[in-house]
Amino acid sequence: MNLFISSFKMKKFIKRGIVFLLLTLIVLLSLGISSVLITQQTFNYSICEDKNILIVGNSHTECGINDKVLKRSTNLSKSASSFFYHYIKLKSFSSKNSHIDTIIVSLNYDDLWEIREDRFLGDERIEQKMNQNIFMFAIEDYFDLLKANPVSVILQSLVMYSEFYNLQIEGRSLIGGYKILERYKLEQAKEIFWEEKEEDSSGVISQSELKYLIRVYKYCESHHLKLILINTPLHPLLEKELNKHEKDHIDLINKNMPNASYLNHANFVLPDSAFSDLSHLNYKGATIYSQYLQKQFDK
Amino acid sequence: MLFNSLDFFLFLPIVFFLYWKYNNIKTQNILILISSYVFYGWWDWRFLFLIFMSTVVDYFVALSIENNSDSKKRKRILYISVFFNLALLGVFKYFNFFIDSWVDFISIFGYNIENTWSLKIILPVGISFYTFQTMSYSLDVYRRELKTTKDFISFASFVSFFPQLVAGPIERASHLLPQILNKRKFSYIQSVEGLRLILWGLFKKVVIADSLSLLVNPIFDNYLNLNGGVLLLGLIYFSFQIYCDFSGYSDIAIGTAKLFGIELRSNFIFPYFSRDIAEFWRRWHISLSSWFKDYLFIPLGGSKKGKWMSIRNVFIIFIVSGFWHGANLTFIIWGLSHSMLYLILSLRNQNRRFTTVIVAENSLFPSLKECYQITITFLSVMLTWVFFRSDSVTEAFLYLLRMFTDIAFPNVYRSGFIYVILIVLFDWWNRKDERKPLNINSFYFRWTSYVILIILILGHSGQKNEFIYFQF
Repeated sequence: MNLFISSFKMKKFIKRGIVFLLLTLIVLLSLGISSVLITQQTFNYSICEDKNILIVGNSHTECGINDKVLKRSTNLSKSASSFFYHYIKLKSFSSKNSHIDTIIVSLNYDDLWEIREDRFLGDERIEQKMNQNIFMFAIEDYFDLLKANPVSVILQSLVMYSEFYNLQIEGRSLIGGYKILERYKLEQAKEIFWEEKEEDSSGVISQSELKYLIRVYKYCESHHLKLILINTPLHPLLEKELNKHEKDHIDLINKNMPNASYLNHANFVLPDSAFSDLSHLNYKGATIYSQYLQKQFDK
Repeated sequence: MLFNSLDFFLFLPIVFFLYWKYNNIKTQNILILISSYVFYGWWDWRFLFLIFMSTVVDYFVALSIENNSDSKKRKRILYISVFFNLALLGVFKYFNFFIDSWVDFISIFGYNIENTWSLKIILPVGISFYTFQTMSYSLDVYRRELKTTKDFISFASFVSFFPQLVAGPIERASHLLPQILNKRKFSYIQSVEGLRLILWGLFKKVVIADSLSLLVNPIFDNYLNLNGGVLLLGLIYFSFQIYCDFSGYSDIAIGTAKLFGIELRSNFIFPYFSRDIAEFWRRWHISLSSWFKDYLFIPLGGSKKGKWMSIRNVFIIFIVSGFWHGANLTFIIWGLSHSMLYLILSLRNQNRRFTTVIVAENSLFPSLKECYQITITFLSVMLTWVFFRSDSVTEAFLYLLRMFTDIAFPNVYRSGFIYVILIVLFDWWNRKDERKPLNINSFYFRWTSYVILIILILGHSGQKNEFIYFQF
């Protein structure tokens, strides 16, 4: 190192820069930890006594089950969520609402595939979801995620406070809920389907996704909760393509979660007008499907 | 590479330390050149050859001009640079616009032809900026205002200097090249000022502009279903969004250059505190407006060849300026509307009333008259932004029509006003020196401000929007 480091001005610049960065780091972490602790204390976990079904899942249940129609349920599904987040929500809400006795988890044919693994460890997903849900994390959950993607988790840990305001304002709706889909993209989705079919039909199972699904199952078993795995309706075009994997899918469930109920409604008959795209129901579809579920639960 | 990305904040310290470690001009310029090409190639390496070509052409053109004393020959050589750079712009930026316009024009006469000539061309980021920068070098050499350099590396570093490569400020060779050719010394004060500008620019971009964009986009997408009050809010928000987005970029560019011991020219000097439209154009995107003034308006005769020539020249400069922003009729109308606002002053010889001093320089508040002038100027500029933001001229007029006919108190999207108030207050506080934001005497208060800004920036950093001016 020549005059670069020996230069007094440069030394001063680097020294002050490091002090400033350390100070900022301390402030950011303190702010983040306090915001998590405050949210833990103030967040409204309570679910009405007359609702005994908790729905956790991704966009399939988020858009497919209207909890105003399926009256005994509370839907906390959120699009592009990993089973990791289903597990986090299940633990947090069921432990604080002892009247919850049934858990519905969305499990479509491709939800456990490796191509969906980025929902758990992808940079973008961690950026979107970690700080929205971090107040529900146990320490081991945090370290699980950290192991999966250290860089992204460390970066997001610096901004743990980033969702504090939104969580205070939007509350539970930020972490999930029934979403009305009004868009109509079925025709567009059909076109894309033929182009992307090959890439999407690999069927290789993601071990990390499976691990958290099994954790959901074990949690339900140990807490005497009835677990229902639900394969929500798919458009016949997609269903026909994916049902090739039905046997593997059922074998996997039977092998790993023998006591769970599995409702395969992938081939549930609905008109095209009930679909928003090939795998998501619109408002009309969700209403019909939720009414059907209501009848089944009434029985 | 985006200034508001993690990549940049890993890239910058590495280049900074290497740059000052090898403290000799040659190595530093090679490092500037390599890092600038890496910076640009991060976005799309395929377009590096365009920068390289533009560099090579103007390097040799300028040398040939200097070596020739015959004025006709010099002019002919200059045309090579002008044609080459304009051709780059023509192909990559305007080709489809001309083809589509031609097809539309023909259809007026009943000839409906199928447009098969439009190409799927990606607009290379920054092409409008670096072509103008290289052209200015050849033009200055042609006018004998600048000596050429034979040092190709230094010249290439000038053309591609990464802080200002993709969205300006458009630097003049006479200002930037001597700094690149001469030894730079590390300055603690300059570097700290640079870091402050970067922080301030990021705040404007990430906190203000990106937050406002979340409100502006739905308002402009659904303007047919919203009341006039909300549409007015949408326009106010967009006015501040584009200002904070672009001036934020310029601040980061100027601040980054300072870290390397290089001073870039100011690009924005609180334009929304302007007291008339002429002053606005002396404070908004200064590097582009002065470029057009020096290389277009004055060569055309400026305002010295009579009233009608002056009017013509004002129209030309503003229309060309509009067209520079994009190949769409909306930008031309935007330029045209500014030319008319400018002409109102220019015809009454009132376009040089406010040339140097910032409003209320020696007082805390502006006078009532100044408030009135600032408000009128802002409202005029704001109304023209509707053409800049809309996808078509029809949409722009419909937006304005609805805004003026469905007058009502805004019932939604009011939350963005806090950002508007915030930036107006901060700018007012800073207004004496645009290059020294956060210049607070108290050490504790200054560092606290830095930390608060960082908290806000990181808290808003989820969106990662591109800078608006990248598309130009």
